[in-house]
Amino acid sequence: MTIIIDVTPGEEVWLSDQAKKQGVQPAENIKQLIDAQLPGGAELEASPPDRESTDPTAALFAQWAIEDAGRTEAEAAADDKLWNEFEQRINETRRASGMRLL
Amino acid sequence: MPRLTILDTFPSSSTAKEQPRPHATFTMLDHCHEWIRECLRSGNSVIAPAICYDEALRELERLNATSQIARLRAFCHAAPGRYFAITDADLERAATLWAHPRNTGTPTASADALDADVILAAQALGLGLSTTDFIIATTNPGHLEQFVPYDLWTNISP
Repeated sequence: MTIIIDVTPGEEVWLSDQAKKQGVQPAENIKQLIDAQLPGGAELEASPPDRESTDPTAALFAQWAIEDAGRTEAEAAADDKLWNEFEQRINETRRASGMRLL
Repeated sequence: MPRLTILDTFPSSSTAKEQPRPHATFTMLDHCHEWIRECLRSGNSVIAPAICYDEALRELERLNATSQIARLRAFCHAAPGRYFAITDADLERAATLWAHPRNTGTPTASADALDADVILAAQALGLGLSTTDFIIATTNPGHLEQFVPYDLWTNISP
């Protein structure tokens, strides 16, 4: 995953100093800070891949979860309305041909 | 052997619905979508028969529901064999299923009413599985009960 964050000028100076001291790029320095705080740290790197990286359907659901999290109330309401209409239309078509309804 | 669940139109369609917002009330489609996820997490396979896929797709096309269409397609094609195409053998089997109750004097529905159901049943039977190894998950069994194992999806343990 790639994350883009905004830092203040003061934070930028501090990050540049830390990166220079360690001989790495600022982004690498931030990654090291995350690894130091993460329970399990680098061991997680060696753990088995999660379902999202091996199962295309799980990856799809994970992608959709990210997309859906960014929706507004209005967009969610519009989606519910669409599905209501969808069910009504399928049932209209089925009723017309004597089929069982949804 | 893991059970194979064949998704009727409502469950197939539910895969294309966006997730509800936090704290929103779940609709039946939302519950069904979550149930399918649970089935997959449990290691059970689900498949989307072409006859149900087509019924969902054509109504979504009528609604110009482009993102929902994209999701339905993506789900159905995310795993090999999940989209279950209709073969010539399925259509021939469907013709036999359609004609049998009429030839034996036991028709239970109008000719049109059985069209899609016999194709769905024929597709399921065409898998060649024991009837204990697959089930059609539906919202309304209707005429399906004459031909194949089925249950309401809400009764099927994921």
